[in-house]
Amino acid sequence: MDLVERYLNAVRFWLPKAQKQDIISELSEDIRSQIEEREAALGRPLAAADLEAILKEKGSPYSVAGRFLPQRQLIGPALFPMYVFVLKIVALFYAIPWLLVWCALILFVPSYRAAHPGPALFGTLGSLWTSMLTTFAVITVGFAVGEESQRRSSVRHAWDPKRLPAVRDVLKIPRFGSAAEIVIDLLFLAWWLGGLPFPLAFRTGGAPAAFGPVPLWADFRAQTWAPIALTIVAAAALSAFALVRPYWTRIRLAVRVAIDLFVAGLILSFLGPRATEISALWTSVVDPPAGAASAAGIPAWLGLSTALTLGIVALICVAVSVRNLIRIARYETLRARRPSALKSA
Amino acid sequence: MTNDQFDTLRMELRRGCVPLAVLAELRTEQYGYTLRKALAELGMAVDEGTLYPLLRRLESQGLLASAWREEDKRPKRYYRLTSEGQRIFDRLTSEWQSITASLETIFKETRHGSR
Repeated sequence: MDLVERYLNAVRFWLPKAQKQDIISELSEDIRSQIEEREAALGRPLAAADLEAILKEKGSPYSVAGRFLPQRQLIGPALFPMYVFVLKIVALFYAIPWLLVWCALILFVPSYRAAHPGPALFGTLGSLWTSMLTTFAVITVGFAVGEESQRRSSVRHAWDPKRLPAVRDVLKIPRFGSAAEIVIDLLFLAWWLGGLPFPLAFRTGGAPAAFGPVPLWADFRAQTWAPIALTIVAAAALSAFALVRPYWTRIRLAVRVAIDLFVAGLILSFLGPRATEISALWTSVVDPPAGAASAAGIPAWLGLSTALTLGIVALICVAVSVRNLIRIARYETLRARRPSALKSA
Repeated sequence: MTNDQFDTLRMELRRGCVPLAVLAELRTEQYGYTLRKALAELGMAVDEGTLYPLLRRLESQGLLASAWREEDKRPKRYYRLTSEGQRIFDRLTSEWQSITASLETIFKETRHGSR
């Protein structure tokens, strides 16, 4: 019987104070009745193993007590999908870009590696870990408060079907977007071909000071002048066609992917062999030589900005291509989801 | 379908029927253990982790009344249906009959492929 007392005592620990005695008395009576019945059936007192089997069948003290407690949840099923969605957005737009920048610094910037040798390199992830943990806690607490206030109010019944957002057609190309692309492409083309002045000029100490082309930019322009010009023309032609037929087809998506990957390839094949040069620019910007005048660092800063801008453009091209490749792979599904298809279904 | 999936669905199906079975049994006064035994003998086995919290919930809703009484030198809590419990039980019984009738019709239609 000592085992039964120990079992009941363990259950008692988790029970609400006001009901402890009442519940334990009832459970105790149930267990003792079961023991008596088993003993009568066997014709002998129960062995320790028999008693253990009975208690095991009832479940752990924690789970038995849990059934007497009110059902509680921090974030209920109504808000949980939105909670997961917000966490994914934070991961996508904060944690992943942060990690990509960190990887790029480790891979391409020797001075960064030198400044954080060995395990110290992973120590630099500490601020990401802290900020992610804080963000996670703040979002969770926010949703828990939302859950509680929703439970107490009747907000969930107050939604208006008329305010539901329109079904988005992911295969439609907005005409305004196409027109804007044409204008931007033509302006860029005019500048690329030398018809517009170079925009890098600024003032120092009140006197205008125009800088010539940055060497890195001049090299890029010289190396890719013709292919980039042709690519811009092709992109503008695609946008012009989209003004007439404002829907993505598989072929047009493939052309767009080809253009974007071509531009990304041009940029990366230009930047790749210059990794050492860019790393030196980074070092002179982040850790300028002692006693150097602030104006002396401007060319390095401009060169580094050019490299970073080109890198970002390449990344955007790759990301847009991945999105368009997914659209090609899921083309039939996306077509079936178009509002016109839904209406006729 | 795996056995686990079947067990989960079976449990969900039976879960809704347990309160009705308990209310039906408690038209006659009983204490927890004898109620559990009676239900098991009638093919509706319910473990005590489900039964006792359910009895408390039904009592807090005013459908059951309970009283502690000593029997064989041991305190036992006896439950019985209240008048409100009887009214709810009658309504639930009608609802149950309506559900089984609907399901019978649906099963028949499916069997004969009439849809």
